Amino acid sequence: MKTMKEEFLDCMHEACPIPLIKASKKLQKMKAKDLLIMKTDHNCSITNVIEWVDKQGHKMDYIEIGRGEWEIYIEKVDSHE
Amino acid sequence: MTSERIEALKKRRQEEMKAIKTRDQSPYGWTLLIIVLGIVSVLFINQSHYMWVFPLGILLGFTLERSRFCFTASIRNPLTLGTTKLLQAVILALMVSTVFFFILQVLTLDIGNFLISEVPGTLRPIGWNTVIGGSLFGVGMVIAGGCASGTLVRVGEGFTLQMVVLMAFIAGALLAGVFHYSFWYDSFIEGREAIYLPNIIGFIPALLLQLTVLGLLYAGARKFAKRKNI
Repeated sequence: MKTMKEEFLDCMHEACPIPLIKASKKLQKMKAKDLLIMKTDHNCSITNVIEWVDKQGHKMDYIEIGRGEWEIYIEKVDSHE
Repeated sequence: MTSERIEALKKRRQEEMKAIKTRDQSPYGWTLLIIVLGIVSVLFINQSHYMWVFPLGILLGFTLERSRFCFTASIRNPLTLGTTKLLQAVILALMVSTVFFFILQVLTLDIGNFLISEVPGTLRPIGWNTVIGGSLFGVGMVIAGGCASGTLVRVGEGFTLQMVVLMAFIAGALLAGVFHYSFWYDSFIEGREAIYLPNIIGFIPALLLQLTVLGLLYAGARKFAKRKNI
């Protein structure tokens, strides 16, 4: 619990696939069990992130935190475990 | 898939958001609904067939928005991300519309004695113009982040970036599609016949052939997603 980190990624006003590319780059630098918070106002990028994250095996969920603004939470899972 | 820590984070963020007051937007929704009903009743009085088309279009847009469907992503994602769920959905939609257009065309056409211009749906001759136009459109939609329906849906959602796209889109459509349409038609379409498969191999074989090709594409897309990992 001590070492877990929370990273924040602002993807407001960016069309897909930019949010997902940013997230994938950030995730590469993160350690397993770290959390990534993404904020986006692009509805469709949620679908893309869900499918891609599932395929990578990370854990994720999202909520609508404002009008037309979503936060996506990703917990990195170490692929070598 | 979620995890305990994500659930905890969600709860925390939701608590934090409760403190921030957001304005109720439902009056806008009700106002729009009343305007829509007004337009529909005007169309009804004038006995226009747009009475059906207009609400149908709104329902279609609603479905596109809620399902987060995106034609651009369906074509782009296999190459950029190696995911094909949307592509599979598009292929399935094409299969469904193949079957229903088949039924519609068989029911409306006098089989064995009809003109291609009488076939429901828009049939145009294919050629290199199709390939070049399609490629241009494809490059454009990936850069702009949306095709026609996707741009409209996202402008409706309030995604500001795509309002610029919409303006360019309208300018392009007016320029090529309205003002210069006869030039494009005369240079590339005029004088060639559209290919209508049922005229060549018959109605049932054409249906089966199209469904088989789409089925193979669907299977290929699934296999591609499993193999490709970016």
